[in-house]
Amino acid sequence: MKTRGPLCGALTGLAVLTTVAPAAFAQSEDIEQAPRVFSIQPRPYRLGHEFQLGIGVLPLDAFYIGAVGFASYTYHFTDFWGWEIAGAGYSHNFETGLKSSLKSNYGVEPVSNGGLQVNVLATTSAIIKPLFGKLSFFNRSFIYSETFFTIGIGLAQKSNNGSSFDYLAGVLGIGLRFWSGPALSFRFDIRDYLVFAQPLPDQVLLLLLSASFNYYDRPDKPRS
Amino acid sequence: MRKIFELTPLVLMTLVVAGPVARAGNDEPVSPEQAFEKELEQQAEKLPVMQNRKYQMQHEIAFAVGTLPTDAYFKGLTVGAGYTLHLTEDLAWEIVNFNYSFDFDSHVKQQVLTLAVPKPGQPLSFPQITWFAATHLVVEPLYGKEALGNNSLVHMEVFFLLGPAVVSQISCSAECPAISTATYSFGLDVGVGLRLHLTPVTSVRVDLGDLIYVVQQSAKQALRLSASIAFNLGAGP
Repeated sequence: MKTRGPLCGALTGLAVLTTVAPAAFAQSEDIEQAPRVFSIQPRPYRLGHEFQLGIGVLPLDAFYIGAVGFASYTYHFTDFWGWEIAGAGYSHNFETGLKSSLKSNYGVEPVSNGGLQVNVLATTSAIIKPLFGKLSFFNRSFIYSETFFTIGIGLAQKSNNGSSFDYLAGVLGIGLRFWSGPALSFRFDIRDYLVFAQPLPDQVLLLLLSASFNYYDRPDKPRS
Repeated sequence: MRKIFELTPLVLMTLVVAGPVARAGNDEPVSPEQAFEKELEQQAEKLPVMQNRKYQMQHEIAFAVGTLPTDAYFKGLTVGAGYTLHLTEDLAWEIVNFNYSFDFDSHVKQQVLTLAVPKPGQPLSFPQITWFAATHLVVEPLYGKEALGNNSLVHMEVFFLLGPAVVSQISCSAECPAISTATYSFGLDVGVGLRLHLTPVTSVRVDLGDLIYVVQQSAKQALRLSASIAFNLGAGP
């Protein structure tokens, strides 16, 4: 009886490998090339006409801290974008003590632009809303949320000792919205206003907490 | 046609007999176990469905760049790092967070240096933060996912930070840091942050915080903003 030697076994193994390996490789390629499937649920809440009321703070200026009351109206064209037709805030300013400190410690006092304080910010902005989802709250309940971005232009009014000046302003922002129901949501905005009081714009940071009241008048028209 | 007439009495008989039986089936008394199961099913319909988290944090090492934008005399560009141990899905301990600040003179400081007349024997000096370190209790109440343009998903988390902090300051004049002297202050750091998970290992986080510290018996504060890339070690998807 003739037995098969190790060489014969090795050759057979090699043959099997050369036959199977490309097939296995092709299979893994197939898996890699398979499309990723996401399950996206329809949005339970949609924005139409949004009325926003908020309170905020202007923390950035060294000379004063602003307490801001803010209101806006936004028309939402689609789930993806809306237009904040008018958004305006009034800032009531409180001195930080820097002015008196400068005078007592260094004998100097701010003049010209240094004494100006922002009182009014009024802009019109595009609202881009690429992210909508839901978040679990301590793993017990969930809330619907939305992340949005703001870009717009408008005016900033600065004043000092009774005289006021209007300047061109741009605004960039990011915000988070948490839904309470179809008509009510709460949002947190971080906005950076660029006020062109000088060739190099001043930055005015606004941190804003708001309640938004929504009226959606097209329930039968699902929007993309 | 004859067949229809033959079948009609049969159908009528079936209805007469089967009708009350079917009705009796609806009114049949159910056992307490069945009633309990039915109640559970009704409650389950009302309960929200919570999926397991796709990304579980465990040992987090984060590297940050940020800014200290609010001080009158300097603007700080910060670089930092931190290590966080995630104890549960909702709770973590940022054992250490350290940030070094590269400070740039503000417009106000430059103006004061130009205009101010120093008092005899007292050179002008301006305090500025050089570094700060903190340890935080981190509460992570919100975790979820948002659809990105209805095409893909982004997993995210909102968290809050609170903990004691140490702030190192130097007082500089125009010649900073040549005549600077370091002082250390203790305080509190409070903040809020947002994390976007990129992969099971990497995530991006944005922090907004407020350092409150005491210098010569008066409270001072410094707003801090930072963006970090975080690496999650020792945890699978």
